[in-house]
Amino acid sequence: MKIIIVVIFFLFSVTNAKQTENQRKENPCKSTYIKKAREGGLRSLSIFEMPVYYYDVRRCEDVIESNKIFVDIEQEQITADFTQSKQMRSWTSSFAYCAISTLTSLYIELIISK
Amino acid sequence: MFQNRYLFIFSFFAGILFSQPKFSIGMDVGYYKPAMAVSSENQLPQASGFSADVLPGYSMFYQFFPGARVGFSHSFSIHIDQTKSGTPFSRIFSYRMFILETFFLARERWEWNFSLAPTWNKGNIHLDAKGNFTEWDTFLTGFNYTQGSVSVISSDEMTTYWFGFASFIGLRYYIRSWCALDIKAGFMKNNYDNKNWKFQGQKVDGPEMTISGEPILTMKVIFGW
Repeated sequence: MKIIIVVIFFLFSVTNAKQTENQRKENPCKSTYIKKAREGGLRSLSIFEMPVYYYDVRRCEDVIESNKIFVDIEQEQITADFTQSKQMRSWTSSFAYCAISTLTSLYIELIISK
Repeated sequence: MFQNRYLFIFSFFAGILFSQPKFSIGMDVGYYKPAMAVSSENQLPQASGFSADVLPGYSMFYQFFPGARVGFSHSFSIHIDQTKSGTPFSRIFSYRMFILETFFLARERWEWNFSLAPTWNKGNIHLDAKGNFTEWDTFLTGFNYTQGSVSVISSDEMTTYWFGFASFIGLRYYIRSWCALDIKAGFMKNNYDNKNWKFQGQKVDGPEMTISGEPILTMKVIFGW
């Protein structure tokens, strides 16, 4: 009984994956990767999803003859990155001060030794 | 236990790769000005331009905290030439940095980053020396070979390792969300000792170099997600 349930689940997932793959090939703009990037930003895609996403983007651009949506997705990601990292957090600023002071002292040491 | 360890390592890396990744890889070109002791007393050929001052390399980073990355950078100084007496010679210095870097974005696409890095460096001098070996000559004479001695190529290398420390301040511009240009100005401290070379397991003296404190400039192209 358990084996039958596992086989049914397996066949169901394979069939579902094939349907999604066919939809993607017929209309690249409906690709799940493009949908994921639009909803969660480019950083929501994994390393393996990235090449497929850019492949779908190219094909979608050919279909809709515009790249505005994808330029906007990229710009939104850049803005999100900026919002997330415009300030140093926690110990990172102390570390930056350490790096600056180390570098300065090494250069002063070099100048003095010459 | 042994299998569990591999399963754990596999799951760990698979988890990183399949989840939201924060990896970046980069190709670097560095510039520094080391002083190599080339004199009439040693056989070192004069290095200049690319072979003396340029440090090509690569780097890998993983963002483990908002505003902080940990990574590894490997830069080389390569000189391939002939010694003054005409023997094929190659010299490679590998600067291997284990970098901790913090950063913030000052404006959209513009990032300032600050790095500190202990370094574990390697020097390697390789010679393809040609010489005659009486053992080979005697051996060949045993087969009535009478054309004289045959030159034998004997390749070997001497190596050294030394610790160091580096610090950088960098400015990065994101061309795309996954591609950036990075310029860093920094300083390398090296505890190089010319009496610490090894050849065939034996301690020998190597070239004298003034690299204890080297200002360094690097430019990187970074790809990451």
